[in-house]
Amino acid sequence: MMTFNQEIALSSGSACTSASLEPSYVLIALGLGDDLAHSSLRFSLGRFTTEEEIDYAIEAISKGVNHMRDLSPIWEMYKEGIDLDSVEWAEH
Amino acid sequence: MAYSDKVIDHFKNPRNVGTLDKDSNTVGTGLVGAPECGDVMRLQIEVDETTKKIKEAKFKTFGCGSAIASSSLATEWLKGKTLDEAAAIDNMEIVEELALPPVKIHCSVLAEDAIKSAIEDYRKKNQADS
Repeated sequence: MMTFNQEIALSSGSACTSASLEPSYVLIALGLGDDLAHSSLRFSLGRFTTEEEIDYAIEAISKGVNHMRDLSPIWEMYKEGIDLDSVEWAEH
Repeated sequence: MAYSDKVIDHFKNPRNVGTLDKDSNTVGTGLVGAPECGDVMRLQIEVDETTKKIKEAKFKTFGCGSAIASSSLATEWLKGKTLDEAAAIDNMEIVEELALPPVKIHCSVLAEDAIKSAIEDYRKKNQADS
């Protein structure tokens, strides 16, 4: 989110559960696991949003995701074909 | 709550991002955290066989800006240290350097854990002379 916070209005979590840290019950009801529900982002569009702004956001999202992937050990493991569900994580 | 300038700097210009050969005997790898918790850090050190000092350190982190900054900072601090000096790095030094707010202190704890885990891995591989 730091990638975007100067230019794009976005949030993690949903508007309906904005007061708590719980993920959106809508996403959970749709069958998303905790990991996907907690890592979802919310972009709100309004009547004044332009197509140009959406294109700009798409470009920024793409750059942001690629930046995060460059930094991520999980992405590297995923690319190596490691089954992430089978890894024994050393939780703190 | 805003990120400090130093955290933003580490996020935009992370230091020492990368991967060392985890099978090498001169490399120690620490992998801590879990995806469900939202933070995973992999910190690797390469120890110079003659001087026994850390000559290279690399990291990759999945997590928030503070987590990325904590591990990036850790790799900067590790270079040139002996293993004992590295093991003495305390998470509160990271908190102070990055001005982490209370809700992000756990990121610095995870970085300290990653350092110790990497050192332990190296020592296990080199049990004869650590």
